[in-house]
Order: sequence, then structure tokens, then C-alpha cells
Amino acid sequence: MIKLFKKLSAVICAGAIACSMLAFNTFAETKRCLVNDNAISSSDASEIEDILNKASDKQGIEFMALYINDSSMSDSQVSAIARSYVNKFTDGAVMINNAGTRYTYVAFSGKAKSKITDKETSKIVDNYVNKKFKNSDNVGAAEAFTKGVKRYMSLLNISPLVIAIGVGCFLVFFLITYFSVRAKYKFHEKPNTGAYLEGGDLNYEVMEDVFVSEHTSRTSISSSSSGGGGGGHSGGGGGHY
Amino acid sequence: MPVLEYKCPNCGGGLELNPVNQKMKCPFCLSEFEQAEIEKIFAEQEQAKFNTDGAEEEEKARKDAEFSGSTNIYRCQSCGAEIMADDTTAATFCLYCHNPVVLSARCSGELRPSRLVPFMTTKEQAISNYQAWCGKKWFVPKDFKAITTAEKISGVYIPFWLADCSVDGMVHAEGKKIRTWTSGNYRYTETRIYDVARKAKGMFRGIPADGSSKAEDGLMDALEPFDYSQLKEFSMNYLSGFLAEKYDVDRKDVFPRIKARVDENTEAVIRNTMHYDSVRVLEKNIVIEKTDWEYVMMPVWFMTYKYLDQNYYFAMNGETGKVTGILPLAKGKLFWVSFLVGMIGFILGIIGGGLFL
Repeated sequence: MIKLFKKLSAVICAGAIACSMLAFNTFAETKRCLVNDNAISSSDASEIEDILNKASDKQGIEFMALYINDSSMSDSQVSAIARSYVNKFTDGAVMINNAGTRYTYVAFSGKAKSKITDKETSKIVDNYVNKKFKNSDNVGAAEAFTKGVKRYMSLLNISPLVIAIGVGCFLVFFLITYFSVRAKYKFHEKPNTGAYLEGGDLNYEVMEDVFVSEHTSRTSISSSSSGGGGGGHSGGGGGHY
Repeated sequence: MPVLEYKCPNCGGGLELNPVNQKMKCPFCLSEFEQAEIEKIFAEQEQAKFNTDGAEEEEKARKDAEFSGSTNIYRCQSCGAEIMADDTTAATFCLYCHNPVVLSARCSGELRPSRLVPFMTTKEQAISNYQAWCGKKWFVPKDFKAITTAEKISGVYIPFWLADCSVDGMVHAEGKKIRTWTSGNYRYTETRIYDVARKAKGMFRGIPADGSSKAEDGLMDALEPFDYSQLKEFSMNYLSGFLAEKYDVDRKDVFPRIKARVDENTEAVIRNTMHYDSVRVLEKNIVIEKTDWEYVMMPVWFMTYKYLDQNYYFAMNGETGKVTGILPLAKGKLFWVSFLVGMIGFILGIIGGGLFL
């Protein structure tokens, strides 16, 4: 019964994706900016096309933006569409926005996928793109998308936390080297007085060890189990605004 | 002040003790003489002088004594120069003709050491050991390692007090034996407490403490041990060719150092008989019942180096060749090396942080 249910779900999902793809085929297509049913104005679309063309030339990544307005489409369907488009490119970056559900998803392939982490993808969606979509600024969102990708693709993209770790390591290495060398150069030789003790030992007149008392204590050993972490680099991420 | 100068019977040059074979050597004609031989020749010469020039010598000596009086001035018998000596100097060199001289008054009576360990290493060995010792130290200033600095090393007889102490020690302590084991979900700890008592007597022989306020105590302690089997009856021959100091720190002033060492070592020896996981001393009483003293001289190759207004020292045991010293540190060089290492750490931190965060 469970096996049958799983098979049925897979068929339905595949069908949904196929329908979505079909739906996009009815879009008013431009090269990089695809629009479904006037989700955005044609002037916005034209501007976005320019922005994406320029960014693609500069960054060496194939940018694409898809705009839909379908409140019945689920987030997973939206993300499936984005992934299907981005996989067409060797080095791609695709943004899809569903105004109907106020959901944005970005997907990467190739070098963008290997360079940009999941956390950074979320930052692109939340801090760059959705901030513009909140204000209905579609053009601004596309520009922010290209800027976000540029920032996290940069070799000099070093977060403040990483810099802090670097500074911390600098201080640790510096201080250990400085003080350990200084300690080596300090004079701290002590003479061995035992060498002057006749016979090497004392003559003992009293040598007593008397047992006084004994006590025993116990402590419980707490068992700990570590939970496994999950997640992997999926090459995409999304969020609502 | 009367001075002794041991002259070569062949050429009249000033004789110096050769540490290699313990003979008196003339650095000019390279003749060597046994010490007993030289003492005999010297005694004969002194006697002959007294007989023939007795009256003149007496008058000269009187004038000399008047001139020097209670001052530290001596007259070099080779070149006639008058040199001011330190209060504690017992043997030195004339600054003008480098003739070795022994200030015999500083080594007579109460100030006469009973024995000394003669130099058994040469200046060349001292320089070689010095260069081996500081050559490996990367942060020592270059000047310190230079041969011109090494050549300032001087052989000095340092005055030492040797103390024979009979000690009576008592320690009362609490000892604990701890045993742990695991059973089921519990860790058990068993502690057994013992009352520990020790009383012992012992004898420490020949604990050295330097009797010179000029010598760094810690440095002299670090040169130990000296081989006492090489102690010889004192003779001024041995001082010729080296510097020597008489003591200016009395036995009563060095006693606290001796006592501290005896106390520490006696307690350590007693504690070694207490085989417990932890020992807490409740009461201790270590008494030095009797101390016998001996005033001796020990050979030390010594050098002082000034760096940034602070004195640093090198010392080598003139008998065994053991080296020690207080090294100057080129802080500028150390800072830059540490900075470089820090930068490597910085890069590693950036790479590690970038990879794992």
C-alpha cells in the first residue's frame, strides 16, 4: 500500500513539473527574462533583460529571471521549474518569483553552485532580492540578484567572522612564538643539592605510615548521544517575503 | 703592597699556569717548569735578594708601604707602573705590560684559601664552548656572538665557601591513596588516608656558595658540580696568569643560601619516601646541627657583555667545561619573526574559516 502511494506521488509530481514547463512555453519569451501572464510589465521586462545581459557578460554566468503570478502553484513546483532551467546552463543563475504566493527561489549551476553556499543563497534571497520584491520593485530585485551573486562569487568575499578567526589565529601564533622564545632565553638553571648528600640518602630514625581512614564516593556517568546533522549543498534556496 | 711575580729563569718573562698540564709556562720562550721547581727557584731568589740588597730593599719596601699604605695601589715589578687594584682583587695583570701579578697580601692569613681547583681548560676551549653555546641561539645579538666579544673571556679564580652540614629533619604529613573504578553507570572513588611521619639525619658535604658579591649567585650555582678530587693545596703559583678575587661575602652571609638548599633537598629526599597519590605536609622541622666551613677558590672562565644598558654574562666551569650564562635577546628580531609566524596563522585561519564556515 505504501509502495503504491509512493509511486502515485512520484507520477503526480512529474506531471506537475511537466505542466509547469508547458505553462512556461506559453510565456512571452525574451532571452533571459521570462514572464507569465503579465506578471510584470513589458517595460520592466525589457529593463530586466538589459540588466541580466550585462551581468552575464561581466560575470561569465548565464543569468535568467522568471516571473509568474499563480497563487495555486506550490513552492516546490516553483523551485522545480527554477532547477529545470538552471540545469540547461553550464554556469547558470536563475531567479524565479511567484507574485501570487510571494515566493522567490534562486538556483545555481556550475561554478556558481560550487562557490555559493546554502547560507549565502539564503542571504541573496532574503537580504538582496526579497527586500526589493516587498516594495514591488521588480527591476531592483533583478539588479539585486546579480549584485548578490557577484558579491558571493568574489574571491575576496570574506565574512567578518572569518576575519575575526584569522585575527585570533594571528594573535595565538604571535603570542606563543614570542613568549616561548623569551622563556627559552631566561636563565633558570637550578643546582642539584642532592649530589652533596653523603651516601645519596638520609639515615631514617622514624619511618611510619599509619592508616587513618577510608571513604568511598560515587558519581553517575551521564550517557550522551550525539545527533547527526543533515543537509547538503543543494545549489539553490528560496524564501517568502 | 707586596706583589709576587713568577719570572721565567731563562728569559725573565712572566710565568703563567698552563691548565693543560698544570705546569708553569713562559709565553715568550715557551719553557715549562714544574710548580715545585719554580717555588724553589723563587724562594732562592728572594733569599739572595735579601742577603745582598737587604738594606736597600728594606728602605724601598718601607717607601712602597708608605706610598701604598692602606690604598689599593701596587707597583709592577716588570715595568714599574703603579696600578690601582680593586678591593677584592688577589691576582691580575699589569695593564701596561700585561705581566701577571699576584697580590700576596690578599691571599695571606685569614684571606688565604686552604685549597683551590686549578684551571684545567684553556681560554681557547672557553672561546670554542662559548661559540658553540650561543651559536645556536638565533635571537642573540650578532655582536654577542662575535669573536671580538669572545676574546674578552677571562679566567678568574672565584672565592667559594664549602659547607659541610649535618642535618636533622622531621616531616609529618598526610598521605592519600586514591583508587577509582567503574561499575555499571557509576564511577567509584576510594580514598585512603595515612598519617605519615619521617625523621632522619644526614650529612651534606661541600655545598658550595660563592663568596664574591661581584659574581652572580645563580650563575655560580649553575656551574656546579666541581670535582673536589681535583682540589689542591693552595699555592700562589696557580693564580699566575689568571685573575683572582678574595672573598667579600663572609660565611655568615652565605649561610642562608646554604640553609635554603639543605632544607629544600632534605624535604625532597624525605618526600621521595612517601609513595602516595597526594601528600600534604602538616609539619616540618629541618635543623642544621653543625656546619664546617672551608674557604677555597674555583676556576671560572667569565665574560660580561653590555646590551641596551643591561649586563649579560657567560661563565664556564674552568675545571669541567660546563657552560652557562644569561643571554641578551634581540627583541626587534623576535618581534618580526613572531609577526611573520602570526601572519601564517592569520592565513591559515582565513583558509580554515572560509572552508568550514
